Amino acid sequence: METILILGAGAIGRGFLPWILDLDRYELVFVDKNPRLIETMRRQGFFTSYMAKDQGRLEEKKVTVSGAYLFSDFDIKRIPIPATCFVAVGPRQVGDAVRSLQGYLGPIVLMENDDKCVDLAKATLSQENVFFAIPDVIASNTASKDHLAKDPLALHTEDGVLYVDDRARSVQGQIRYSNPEELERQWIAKTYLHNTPHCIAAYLGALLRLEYVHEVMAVTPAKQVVQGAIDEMLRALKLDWSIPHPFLDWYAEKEMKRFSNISLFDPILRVAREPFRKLHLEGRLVGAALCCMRSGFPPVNIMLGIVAALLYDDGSDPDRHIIFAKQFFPPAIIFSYLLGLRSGEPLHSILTENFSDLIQRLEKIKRHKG
Amino acid sequence: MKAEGYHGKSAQALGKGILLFESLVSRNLQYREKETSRDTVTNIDLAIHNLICRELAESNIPVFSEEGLAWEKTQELYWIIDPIDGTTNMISGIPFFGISVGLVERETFAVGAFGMPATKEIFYTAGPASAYRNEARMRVVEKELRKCLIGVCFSSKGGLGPVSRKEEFQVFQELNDSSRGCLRLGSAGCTICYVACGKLGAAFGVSVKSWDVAASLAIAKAAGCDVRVANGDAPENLHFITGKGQMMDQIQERLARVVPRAQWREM
Repeated sequence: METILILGAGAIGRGFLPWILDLDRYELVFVDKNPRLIETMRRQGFFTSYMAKDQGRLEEKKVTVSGAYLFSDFDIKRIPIPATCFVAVGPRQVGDAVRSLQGYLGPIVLMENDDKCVDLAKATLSQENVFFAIPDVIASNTASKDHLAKDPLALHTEDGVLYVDDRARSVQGQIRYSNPEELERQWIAKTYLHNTPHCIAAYLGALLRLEYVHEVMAVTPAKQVVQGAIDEMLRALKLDWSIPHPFLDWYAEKEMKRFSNISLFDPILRVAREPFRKLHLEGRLVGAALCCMRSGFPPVNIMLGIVAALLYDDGSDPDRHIIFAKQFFPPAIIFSYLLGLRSGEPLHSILTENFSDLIQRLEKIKRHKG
Repeated sequence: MKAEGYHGKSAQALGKGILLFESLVSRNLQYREKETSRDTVTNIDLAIHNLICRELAESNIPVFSEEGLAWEKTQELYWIIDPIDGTTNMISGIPFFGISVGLVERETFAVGAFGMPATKEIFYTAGPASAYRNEARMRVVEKELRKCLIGVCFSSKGGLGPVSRKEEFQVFQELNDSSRGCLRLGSAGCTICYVACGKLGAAFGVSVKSWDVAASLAIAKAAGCDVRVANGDAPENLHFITGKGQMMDQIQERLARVVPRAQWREM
C-alpha cells in the first residue's frame, strides 16, 4: 500500500476525497488543526462518508484512518513517504499548512478555491511540484442526526468530480486530469456559477436563521435572489468569456439543483464563514459584481449578497469584526477601505447610494420567512 | 474599564473624519505655519477638528486636540485627537499622514482609530486585544532587530535641545546600521500603525506629542505589541518605544544616551 497524505480533514479532505481515490491501493493519513477531530479519528480508526446519489439515495463508505495528526505535532519524516499530498484547508491556512511539507518532493495537489495558493505553496516550499485542482462538488463537514448518532465523524458528500492539473498525473482513482484550458473553464464556472450563488444562499440563510443551504432554497424570495445572482453571472460570463454557452447554461442549472439537494446537509456556518474573504475585491461577491459592471449592468442580486455578507453575525467566526465595521463605519468607508473599491467607481457609488434600500429588501425577505 | 465601551465611537468619528477629508481635499488647500516652518496647519485640519469634536461631544468626555484646548492631564478619561498627523507630508503630496482619534484612561492609551486616506488604510481597536488594518486582524510576532525596518519619530521642535538632537541622530545611525534600516516617515501615528501591522519591526520617538501617538499606541498594544512610554519634557510630550520582545530593551538601552532620566513604564 502506498500512502496518501491529506492536509485538512474537513468536508473535501475527509468527505469527498476517499470516494475518488483507489483505496485498494492507498492508505490515508490525515492532518488537521482540530484536536477533538484528530483524537476521535485516532480512537475510532475509521469514519463514515455518505454520498448522495440520484433521487436522494445515499451510499455509505467506511474509510480506514491509517494515521491522524495535529499540525502542531506532525512530522512528515515519521510517516512513509506519501505518493501524493492533497491540501484541503482554507485559503488563509495554506501558507501554514504547507510548511509541514518541508523536504517533501512528491506531488502536492491544492484544492482551496483559489489558484493563487499554488504560487504561495511553491514559494513557501521552494519547489515546483505543486498543482491546482478544482473539486466540483458540495461536501458537508457534518451529517444528518441519524448518521451522526451512528458515527460522530460521519459526513455527507455529493457525487462530484475532481479536476486536477494534468501535470500531476500520478494518483490512481476517478480523477479528471485536465489541460490548462479545461481547468480555466471549470475554474471560471466554479468561481462565478457555484461559489457566488452558493455563498449568497448562505448569507441569506444566516439572515433567515436557517441551518442548511437547502432550507434557504425553500424560501421563495431567497431562492429568487440566488437564481437572480446566477442569471446575472451567466449574462456577464457569456459577454466576457469565450466559454461555450451550452456549458455555462448546463453548469448554472446543475448548481440550482445542487443547492436544493436535501441530502447534502450543507451547513450555512461552513459556507458563510470568513465573509471578508468572500468579499475580497477579486472574489466571489465583489469580484463577481465587478465582472457584471464591466459587462455593462449593475447586478442587483449580487449586491444583495454583498450586503447580506456585511450583515453576517457569527460570534465565533474569524471575521466577526464585520459586525463592528458595519455598525460604526459609514458604508462609503466600508466599501473603499474594507472591500477595496475605489471611491467614486460605479460599483462603489451604486452600493453606497443604495445601501439602505438593499438592507430594506433583505429585511423584507426576512419578514417573508417569519 | 470605562474606555472599553468607546471603540465603536472612535471608529465612527474616524469614519466621518475621513469622508470629510475626501470631500475637502480636492478643493483649495490653504495652510499656514504655526511655531516653526515644520509645524503647519491647514483648513482641512481645522474642519476635521470641528467635526470630530462635535461627534465626540455626545460622549460627555473631554476632548483634547492639537488644534483645540490647552493641555491638562487631570481627567481620568479623555479623548485625544489629531485631525491630521503629518500635515507637512499632506501638503507635500506624501501619503504618510492620518486622522487620529484616541481615548486615554488613567494615563493608558486604551482606544484608538487612525485613518490614512492617501493609502486607503484604517487601523482601529475593537477591543483591548483586537486591532485591525482595514478588514484584517493584526497580530504582531517577535522578530530580530537585524531583520526589521525601524521607524523613528523626532520632535519637530529640535527634541530636547542641540545636544540630545545629536545623540538622537547617533542612535538613528546605530540602529540604521544594525537593522534593515531606519526610516523617518513624518507621521508618528502612521509609523506606529506600521509596526502594529508588521510593515515595520519597531518604532521609537523622543519628545513626541501625545495627540500624535495616543490612538496608534492603543492600536499597537491591541495588536500585541509591547509598548513602553516615559514622560517627556512638557506635560503633552512623551517618549515611546514599541515593538515586540528583545528589541524593546535593545532600543531602550540606546535611548538612555538621549533621555538618561526617562522613567520607562510598560503600557
